[in-house]
Amino acid sequence: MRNIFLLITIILFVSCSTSKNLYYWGNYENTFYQKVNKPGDETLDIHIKEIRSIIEKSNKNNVKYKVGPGIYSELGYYMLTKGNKEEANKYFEKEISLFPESSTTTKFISK
Amino acid sequence: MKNILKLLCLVLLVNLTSCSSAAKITKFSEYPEIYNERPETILFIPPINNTTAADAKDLLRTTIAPILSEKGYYVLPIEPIFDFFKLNGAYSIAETSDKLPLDQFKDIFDADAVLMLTINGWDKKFYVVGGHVRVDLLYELVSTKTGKTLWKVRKNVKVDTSSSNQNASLLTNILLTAVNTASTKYVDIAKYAHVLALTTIPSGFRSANFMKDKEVQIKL
Repeated sequence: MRNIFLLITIILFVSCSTSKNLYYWGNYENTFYQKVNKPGDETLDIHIKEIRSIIEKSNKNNVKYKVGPGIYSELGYYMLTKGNKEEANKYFEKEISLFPESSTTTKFISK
Repeated sequence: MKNILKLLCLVLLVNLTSCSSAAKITKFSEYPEIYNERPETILFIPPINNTTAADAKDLLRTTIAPILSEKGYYVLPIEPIFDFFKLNGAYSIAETSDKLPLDQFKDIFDADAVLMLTINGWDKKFYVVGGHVRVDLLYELVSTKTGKTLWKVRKNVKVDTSSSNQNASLLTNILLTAVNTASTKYVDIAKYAHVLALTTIPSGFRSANFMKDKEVQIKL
C-alpha cells in the first residue's frame, strides 16, 4: 500500500510539474540591465564577466545544460567591439555549432 | 492486482482533472497557427512604450531572452540586434511604421517570427510602507512568412514591491538574486511579467514539450 502511494506521488509530481530548465542563466538579466541602464566600460566588463561565468558553469554544471541561445554570440559581439576579432570568431563558431538555426544571424553579427 | 490497476486508473483520472482547469481554452484552440508554422528563430524588436516610465523598455528587453529561450525557441541575441536597429535609425520602428518589413527580417536574420511588445502600463505606486507596480503588456508574435499572428496575449498584473517573497514564490524556474537593490527588484518584476505571459505560449522545437502541449488549457 505504501508503495502505491509513493507511486501516486511520483506520477502526480512528474506529470504536473514543469520541466527542468534547459539552460543556465546565472545573473544574466541583472548584469545586462545594469550595462544598458548605465552604459560604460565598468558595467560592460561586469556583464562580460558574468557571461564568461555562465559559459563556464553551463559546461560544468550538468551535461544536459547547454549554453543558452545567443550567449556565445553576445560575447563574440562584445569582443568584436573591443577589437578581439580572433576570440570573437571562436565564439561565433560555437554559437553556430550549438544552434545551427542561428547561422544567418550569427554571420550577420560577426561582420 | 486488479485493485492496483483500478487504483492506477483512478490516479490517472484524478491527475488529468487536477492538471486542467474548468475553462475550455487550450493552447491549440487559441493559437493553431503556431503549431502549423513551428517557428524556430524569434526576433524581438524594440518595444513600443506607451507609458512615461523611461526604464520600462530597458527592463523588459534585457529580461526577455532567458525566459523565451526556456520555452524552446532560438531568440536572436538582443544586444547586437538592438545596436543594429539603433545604428540604422530604426530603434522606434515598431512605434513609427504602419507595416513592419517582415521580408527583410526574414532575409537579413532568417527570423521565422517577430515578437512585438507594447508597454501600456508601468505604474509605480509608493506608500509609506511598500508599494506596487501595475504592469500592462501586450505581446504579439507575428510570422515573417505569412504575416499572421501566431501568439498574442495581454498581461495586466499588479506586483507588490514591499516584499519580494510574493514574487519569489510565483517565479518558478527562475533564480532570484539574493541582493535586493531597487534595480534588481524592477528586473524581477519584468521577469515576473514575462513568465506570466509566456505560460500561454506553445513550446518551441528545443523544448521536451514541443507539439505535446496542444491540449494544455490556458487562462487568458
